[in-house]
Amino acid sequence: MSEQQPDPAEVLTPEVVFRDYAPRIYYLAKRMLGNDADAEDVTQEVLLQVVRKLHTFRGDAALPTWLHRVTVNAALALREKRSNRSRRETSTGDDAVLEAGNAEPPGNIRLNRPHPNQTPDDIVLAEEQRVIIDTAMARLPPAYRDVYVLADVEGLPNNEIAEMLDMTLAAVKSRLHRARLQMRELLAPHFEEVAP
Amino acid sequence: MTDVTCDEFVNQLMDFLDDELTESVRIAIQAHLTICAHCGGLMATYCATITITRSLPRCSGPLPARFEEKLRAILAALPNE
Repeated sequence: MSEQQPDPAEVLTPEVVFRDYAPRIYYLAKRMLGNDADAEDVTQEVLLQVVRKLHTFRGDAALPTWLHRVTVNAALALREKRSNRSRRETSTGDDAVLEAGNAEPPGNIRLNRPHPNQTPDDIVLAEEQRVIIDTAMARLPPAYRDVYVLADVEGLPNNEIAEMLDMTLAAVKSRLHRARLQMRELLAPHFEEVAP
Repeated sequence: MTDVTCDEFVNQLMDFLDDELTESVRIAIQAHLTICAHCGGLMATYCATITITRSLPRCSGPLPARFEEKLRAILAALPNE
């Protein structure tokens, strides 16, 4: 789950793990769960797990893969817990717990394909694009969002996602295709130049 | 396989882009693309969606300051092993 690869020779300490991995865990959880509070719960849980098991890692080559898996599992478990609570509360008349995904994406912004040599204006634009895409992803049904985030944001191969989510490869591909079609619908208003 | 409908095109699109179709189906899809501007546009925005999503930073910035402070306090309170 790395963009900048941590130095493999660096000794793993809680501070190093915090610095190199906490934001990645947080943003993966936030994208899967669609809200800050749940992402914080997952990040805290995963970080405590990794710090407690730190002595079992010899160098950190295996750590990113392990962290992906633990973060995904923690996010799925938290969603399940929230879902069970929501069902109980709904059955007693309390419908305050809502699944994330109702926010409207910002309008009037066009999406541009990424290009190198960014200027400051490009960076502002890239941030606006990030918000649009993250907002659209938060509107996907959770089952589609999981596969979409892992495949198209995190770049995991479909067979690894299938194993991680305990699904068949065919089911992963089917969900990914449907998720992409929904994301396309959500982002289409911003694709003025390439829209049909 | 001869003519492909728009629904069939949509259903096969991911396999088409991943080059996982038989040759006859792939040719039929390509033929459909030459006559159907709607599906051509759909494929363009589908591909743009993938490209733009893949350009997202996996990590969108630092942790929120308040949360970072809380996490640091929790880590600092852990017993040293």
